[in-house]
Amino acid sequence: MFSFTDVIYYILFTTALILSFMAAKENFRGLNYLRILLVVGLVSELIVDAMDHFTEYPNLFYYIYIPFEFIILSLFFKKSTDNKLLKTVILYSISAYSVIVIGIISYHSVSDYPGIIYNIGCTFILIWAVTMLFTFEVKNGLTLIKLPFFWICTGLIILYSGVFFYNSVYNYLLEEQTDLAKRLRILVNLNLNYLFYIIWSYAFICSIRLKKYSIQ
Amino acid sequence: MFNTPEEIFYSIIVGVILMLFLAIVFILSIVRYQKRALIYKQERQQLESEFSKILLQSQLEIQEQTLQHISYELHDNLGQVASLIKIHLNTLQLNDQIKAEQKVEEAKELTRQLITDLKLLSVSLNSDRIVQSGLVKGLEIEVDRLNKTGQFESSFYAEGSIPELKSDTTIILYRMVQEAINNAVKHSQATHINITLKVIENLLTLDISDDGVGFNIEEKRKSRGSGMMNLQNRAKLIHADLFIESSPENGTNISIELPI
Repeated sequence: MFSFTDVIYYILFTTALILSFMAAKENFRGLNYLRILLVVGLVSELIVDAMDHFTEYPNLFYYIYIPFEFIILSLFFKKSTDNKLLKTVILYSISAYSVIVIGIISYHSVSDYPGIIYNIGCTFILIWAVTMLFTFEVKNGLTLIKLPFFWICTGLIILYSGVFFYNSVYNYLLEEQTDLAKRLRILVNLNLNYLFYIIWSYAFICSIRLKKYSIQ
Repeated sequence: MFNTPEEIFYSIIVGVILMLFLAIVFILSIVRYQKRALIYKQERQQLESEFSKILLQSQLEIQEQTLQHISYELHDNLGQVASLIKIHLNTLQLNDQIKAEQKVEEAKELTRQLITDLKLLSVSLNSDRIVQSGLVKGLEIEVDRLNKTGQFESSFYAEGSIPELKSDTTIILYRMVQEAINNAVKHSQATHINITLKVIENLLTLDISDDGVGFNIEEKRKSRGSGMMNLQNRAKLIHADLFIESSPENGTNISIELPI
């Protein structure tokens, strides 16, 4: 049922999930949102894999999961910032995104991969991640690269900037060049996801380390 | 545009790599920016801490000078006057009524002088009173006190409309003038001390000049004389500029320029 690449993917995903539960809440604002995202994400991937084998519409579940992922990440960013304006803008973006998603679903076939919905979410998340990194205030004499929040944003920026380009043509290729689309999925999407979960795992390790130092 | 699947494949891979490269460059520039921001913050904290240190040091110096001032006034002025009153009363001969009346009158006059001097001393020491009465009134009292010693002819001249300054600024300016006067009294052998306060546009200028023996500024600067250092530190505290002009036998002019 699972290929070798899928097994590695699930191992990395599960590792990140376990580490997220070991991370310290005290130095990680919005950690619970990431835990929820990882749990739901893992379950969703398993459901999509199952649907791929047993139904004709394996992408259907993504129409629920991708907006959910966007909302959770937006709430994570909202929780991580003290900037009131940014908090308000993030909240409005969730409403705007929801309207866009409903609009797209109404006029678009749900059998295709929701590339447009994903890319709109990518754009917002990239904007939040970059803005947050620029405005983030490093405290207690720490450096930015020791902070879990930095690695969470870095992971998101790398994944979404890479996937953004590939997603734009994925649906077209899936219809016109199925083999090529599958090759690209493994090479681009899967490898970027590997990198993403490794970076997130490192973010959670940073949080565990910070907890240890603060206890000592 | 693309003829084969291989061309499409490599184009997309190159595109993705380019996007990733841009993302990494972006992240690195954010790290660099944050590092600079951190260094700037640390430097600012260090400057603030140095500033607090200077402020504390100046406050301690002001306290020390105030105590010295009280000691000097008690010993050389008030103590002397009190001793004179005591002598007058001790040598009072009640059998000689005319002389006795004369001595009682002199004792009364000295007591009046003692009370006035005590009031002036109290005013010059009390920062709150200086803030309440303002810099101009404070300087007038200071000049009065100087003239009463009989050793100096001093004057005070104010030009332009003097704005209400912050209480800290008023006290520091007042203490700077006191410091300059003390330096002139102690070291200059001057006979005239003049103070001028003027406001032209947004610049308040306070000049304290004397006709004393003056000094070599460079030598004083090298020896880091505490009087000059005090004035410089206090000028820094209120973001004022301090200019000292002096040369041997040509008197001294101290100018404080405060943007308002």
